[in-house]
Amino acid sequence: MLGKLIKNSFKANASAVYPYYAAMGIIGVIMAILMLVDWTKWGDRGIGVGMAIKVVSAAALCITAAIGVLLTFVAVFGEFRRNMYEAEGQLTLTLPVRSSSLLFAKWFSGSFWVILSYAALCLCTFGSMMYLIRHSMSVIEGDSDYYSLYSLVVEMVRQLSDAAGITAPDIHVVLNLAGLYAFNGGVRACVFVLLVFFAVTLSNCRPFSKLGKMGSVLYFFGAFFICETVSRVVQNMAKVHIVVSQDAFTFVTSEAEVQAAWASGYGAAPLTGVFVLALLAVGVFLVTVQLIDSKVNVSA
Amino acid sequence: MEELDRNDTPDLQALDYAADDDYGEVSYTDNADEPEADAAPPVTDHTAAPAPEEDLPGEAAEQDQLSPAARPAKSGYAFKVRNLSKDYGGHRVLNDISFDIPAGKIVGLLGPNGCGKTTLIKILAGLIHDYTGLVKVDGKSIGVASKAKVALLPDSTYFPKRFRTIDCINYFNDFFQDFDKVKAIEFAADFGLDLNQRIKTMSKGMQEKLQLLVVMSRAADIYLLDEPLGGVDPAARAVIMDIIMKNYKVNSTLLLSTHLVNDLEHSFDHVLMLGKGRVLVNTGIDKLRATGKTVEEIFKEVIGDAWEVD
Repeated sequence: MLGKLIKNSFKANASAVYPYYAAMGIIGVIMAILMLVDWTKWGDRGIGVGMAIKVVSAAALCITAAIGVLLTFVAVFGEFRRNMYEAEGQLTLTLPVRSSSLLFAKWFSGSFWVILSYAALCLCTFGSMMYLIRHSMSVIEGDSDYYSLYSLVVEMVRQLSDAAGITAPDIHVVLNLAGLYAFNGGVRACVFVLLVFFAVTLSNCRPFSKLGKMGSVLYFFGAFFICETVSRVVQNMAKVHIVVSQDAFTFVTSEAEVQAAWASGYGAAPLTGVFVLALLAVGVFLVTVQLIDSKVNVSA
Repeated sequence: MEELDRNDTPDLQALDYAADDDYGEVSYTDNADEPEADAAPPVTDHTAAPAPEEDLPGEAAEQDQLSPAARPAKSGYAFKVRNLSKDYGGHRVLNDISFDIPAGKIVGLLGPNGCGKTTLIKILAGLIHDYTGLVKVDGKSIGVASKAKVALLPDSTYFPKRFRTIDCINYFNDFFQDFDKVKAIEFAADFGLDLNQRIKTMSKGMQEKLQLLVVMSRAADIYLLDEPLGGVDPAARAVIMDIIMKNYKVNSTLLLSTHLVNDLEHSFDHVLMLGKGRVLVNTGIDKLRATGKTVEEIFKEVIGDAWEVD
């Protein structure tokens, strides 16, 4: 049954978010076409116009992706409210499935779409930035292959490290660190989605239903604030980090070891905070299931 | 307060429904709160008859499920409710009600607007949770097991707008083991519903037909039908009732809420009347008919001035 619930949740969310992804796809295609045009054929003026168009296209793509993240959130949460607590809830909540399965399916699917939209934003922003920098450098140097993407990333890491006063990490360390931060971001996105589901559920339980939809916004910010505060307090109390080298991950528990790692060309990422958030998510999940089982009213 | 014994000859004039408060105490009920309430109900007067394995639409017309004699008796209770209360923002809709409904009956859930019929159905279906009291459906507390046995037809449409007819059928097929997909597809053809038509392009009447066809394509043990004839013209009413009566699973319990007492009283074999949050009548139709009055006459008599909107 869980598989069928997940399948249906994916379909429901996909139907809600596909217009935004279609818009992003169309803008991406337009941008790609504009990039393929050889503006140098129109001389210096053509180069200038081409650059301006490319900058505007890149900005449009990034803005569309950012709006896509926001709209994906709205679509996922709107779908959750509609499917659970409005008219459709009369079907969803009479299915012979456990509330925990129902919530997990919606959480899994919602988190997937939110993470996907966030990944698309990161990809668009990073890709556009890299493209524009590479293109600008090529124009300045008069050689279209002056910088490869790889050499551009290495150069950026080197300059950022110089600015931060640390030893520039190896590219493998950078990639491992990026993976760790992506995982961290993914966990946070999942917790974020769950907190909104919790808030929407709470706003359908008496006496919390008095504030209506506005209540779910308030409850979300309340729950988010509590979770973030607890996470940060525990992170400050127990400073467990993962130190990333070219080929290994090691745990350290002091700020001095973290500083030493950065100074040695390694990277480090905090661990306690995300671990606490994951634990809190388990608690929020169980509370939400309990609310669905014992307090919720379908308002249709 | 006098409770009607099954062996008594009912006499409405002797009933105590016009007591001090609005309706007096629950005055015309069977079973509820009796010590032997947990025991199986007495054998009904419905004689057993073999039930067909399947009720395909084509065959259904030849069955006579309307006749209580055609349906075999079933032991146990479909619903057991004890001290059930439910408030909406300080307004008490169900006020400490208790009743039992024997399994295998066609039950008319009657009462004026706002008396708690829909609330009661939603509680039985597992859509409302913040009530007090004990509710058992087919001997089980409200949960996964009870939901597997209950087919709900609410008074509003509930399919997502993006769904097509075939999506609705597949959805039921995915989640309800007692769903008959072939029957549903045949039903859709009989109703003239295009399998690829989306809900958002359907009229409200078409959506209601679709909901009815998927619900009645289940071989559920209990059907909860909330105002299936609400807002429907008399010709359509007959068709809808025909579909319900010819396609519900034989031996199942059918709880049907309605205002149209006169149209449907011949279909009921048990009546549960609610008024101002209380159970006013809970008894077999044969006992009511023995008074020489129609259900509608009794309804008007019992409900009194609450016939109007609360």
